[in-house]
Amino acid sequence: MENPFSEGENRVIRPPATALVIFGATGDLTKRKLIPALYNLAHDDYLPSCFVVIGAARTKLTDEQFRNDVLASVKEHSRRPVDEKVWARFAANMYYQPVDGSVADDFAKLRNRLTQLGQERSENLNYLYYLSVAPEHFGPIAANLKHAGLVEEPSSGTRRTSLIIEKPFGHDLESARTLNAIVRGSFAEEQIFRIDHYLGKETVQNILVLRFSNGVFEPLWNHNHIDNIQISVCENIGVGSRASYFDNSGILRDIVQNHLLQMLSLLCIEPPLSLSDANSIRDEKVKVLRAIKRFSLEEVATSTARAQYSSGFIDGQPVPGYRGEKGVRPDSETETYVAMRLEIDNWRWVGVPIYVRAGKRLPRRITEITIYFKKAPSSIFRGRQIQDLEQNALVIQVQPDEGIAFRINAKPPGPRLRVRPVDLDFEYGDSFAVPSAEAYERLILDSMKGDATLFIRDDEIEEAWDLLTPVMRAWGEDGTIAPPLYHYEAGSWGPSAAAQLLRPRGHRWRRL
Amino acid sequence: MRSVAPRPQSEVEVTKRVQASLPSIQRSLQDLFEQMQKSDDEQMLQRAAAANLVVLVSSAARLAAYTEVVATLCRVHPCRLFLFYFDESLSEPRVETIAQCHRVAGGSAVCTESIVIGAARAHIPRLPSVLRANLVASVPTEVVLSGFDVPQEMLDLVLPIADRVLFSSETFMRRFSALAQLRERALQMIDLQWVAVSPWRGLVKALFDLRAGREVLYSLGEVRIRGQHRTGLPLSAVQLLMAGFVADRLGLHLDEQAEARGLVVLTHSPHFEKPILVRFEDGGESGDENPVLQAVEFVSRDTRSPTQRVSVIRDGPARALESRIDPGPQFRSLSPIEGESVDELIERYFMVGESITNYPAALAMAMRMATCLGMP
Repeated sequence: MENPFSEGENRVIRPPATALVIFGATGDLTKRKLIPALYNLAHDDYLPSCFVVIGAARTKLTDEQFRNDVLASVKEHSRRPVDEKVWARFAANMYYQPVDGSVADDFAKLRNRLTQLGQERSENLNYLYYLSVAPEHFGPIAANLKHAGLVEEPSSGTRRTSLIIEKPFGHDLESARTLNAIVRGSFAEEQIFRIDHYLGKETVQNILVLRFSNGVFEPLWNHNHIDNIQISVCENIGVGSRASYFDNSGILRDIVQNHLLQMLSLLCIEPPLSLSDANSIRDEKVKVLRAIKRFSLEEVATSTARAQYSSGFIDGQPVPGYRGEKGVRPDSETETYVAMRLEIDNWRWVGVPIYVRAGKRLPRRITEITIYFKKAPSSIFRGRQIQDLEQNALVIQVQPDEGIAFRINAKPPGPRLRVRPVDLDFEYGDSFAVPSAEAYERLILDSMKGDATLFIRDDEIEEAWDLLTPVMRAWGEDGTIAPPLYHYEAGSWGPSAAAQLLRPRGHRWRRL
Repeated sequence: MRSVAPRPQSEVEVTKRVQASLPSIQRSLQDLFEQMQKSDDEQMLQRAAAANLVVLVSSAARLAAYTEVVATLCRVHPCRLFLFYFDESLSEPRVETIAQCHRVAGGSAVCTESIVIGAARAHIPRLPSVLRANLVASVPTEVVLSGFDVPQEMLDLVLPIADRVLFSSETFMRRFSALAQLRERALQMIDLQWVAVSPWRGLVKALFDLRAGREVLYSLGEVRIRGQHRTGLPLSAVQLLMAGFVADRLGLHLDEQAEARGLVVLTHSPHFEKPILVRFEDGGESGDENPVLQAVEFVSRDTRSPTQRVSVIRDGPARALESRIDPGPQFRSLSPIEGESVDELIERYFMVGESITNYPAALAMAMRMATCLGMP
């Protein structure tokens, strides 16, 4: 725990007493991400002084069995090793309650359990429900919570009750609106925390700090000085155990609609009125999403590229093509790679192409934002044309190694006047000598505090779907005008069609 | 006159190497670096990331000869280094990671990470994914070729990602035409033999800055280029490149009338009334050493011309290059010889740099001359 007597430092504000109910407690996300995140928060002493976790799922488990499962998850997935004292304190507040999301009686039992745990601790616990389940269960669970009296009105002043939901937030605009309406039938919008774990990453949050705390960048942050922006979300893994879900979604829905557009909107927002008010930032993000130029169906063919991986090698090891993956239809036309050229049609960004790409089975796992600045107006260096000089580039690396680099041109030592690009580097691990917390740690903590800044509002979801609607339509129903589904070798950087998107403006993808 | 920049105050301080596998290279490098940090906790260690250097060696047998080259590259050009060699006896690719840290000014150390991969030709399709996964992002990728006999499949995979290719054209002398594919790919070509002739080019230029030197051009009849050659070869790459440079700068060209008689090539130019001979003279065998130029002479065909000969001649005992304008001499100057071994050329290129503005045209002319001479 940080020293509360530190001069000039904000004291850590612990969240109020909270009961966290995880629906889908036996699922993969809970084991790999949620439980390790909670353990690390406990380890760092960030959890509320009164905190209980109730695992809820259809499986019949005892509290003890659940704790054993939790311990196994922590051992396997936590970034910190198990500390016996921390574990003992953490495990003592873990419980399990069998709940079928569609059975009202189970929610009555859950209510009794929550009441009992609060009484045992003489605390008025806030209730935080984490739906780590498929979206079709959101509606029934939210409704049953409401019917069981487990949802308080935000203005009631008794306890705070909140709901965390995970993507996918719908399959298209219509289903997203339906889903939002269903969830809002039981919870007010301010009680709903839609999680996109990218927003919990230090570097993504650092975009705001970088832009709005450094006098040097903000004056340059516009079409007068920025040449183009590139956002890449690259994975070297295939679809793994998510094959059946992915094959019905594709990477446009899985990555672009959420992670990628969230990073883009944060990168391009106008200065928010305040960072302490969640809606200030979210209002600005929505404006960006709304200002992104919508494609006509014809433009989809010239501004997007889609592809699917064929067999190849990753790190020298043979891997099957997408259609050969277990759980994927052998004739699947689902895209595993997408590249798009976007434009934000507003005063700040007009004319700046924003290139985004996301893909699976690429050579390495890397997520990166690169801002290319315009070149110097002319070259005064003999034998070097202006086109030979590298552009300044600000690189925000989101994963795996979070950090920021700024590329400048410099003169190498020696008697000749030469020009060579060099990077000014900042890496979280090196500069702050502590590893970054996992994204889920930050987001769970914020949700316990009721801070929705790093969560997605309903209108953001809907704007993102609206933007992609013509793309999905062209790729799907109106297949005649869609760009073809290209194939790329696993372990390559995607189809050459993606490079063509940048060619009209003389740009190239940053080499990752 | 230019000189080699002083060698940086550096030496190899720590070297660690471990066996790895293709998928574990990244992890292995990380572990290696962490181990080195622990063993050198008083010093700041930095992982070099200014460039990627991909060295392609045609066979395991040639690997030993490249050990020193690689060590020099690591010292003068901190980078992430990939060394591929080809060995048909390997049933699986063999991977080794090596970190070499050099102390630099201020007490900190820069570590070059090397990934050495031995592979049979059958493994080549597996290698691009390894390379792509481990390259340092968005820094120049430079490819070093050991010679013309690197497997073509590997060249096809690696050259598309190269920003520059570094080689010695001397290692292409048994198939000089193989350089054509490098030219066609519009890569920036760094030829160590071009670096080798750099002082010669500078001295020739300086001679023709003088009015007396320029006199010979009005009646130029012959350009003689004398150099060493390796056993079994008629001449050396430095001779061809120097000839190519001279021919290009004088606007000479070879056309249908061009012919080779022994080691003499006839060149024509609209600027000169009569053909000009470019004569390659035998300066003896160089043994295992990198062949060097012995002399470059511009000779007038007009015996009444005030300037009969402009030349740059190696003075071996004096370790100098002598620039002369004869008769007289009207001008004479000595310049110390710069290092000419492959290692020294690499060092000179990376520490001093080299202008390659005229290289493509000089190489094109050199290649045409080689064809005229009947070289493969």
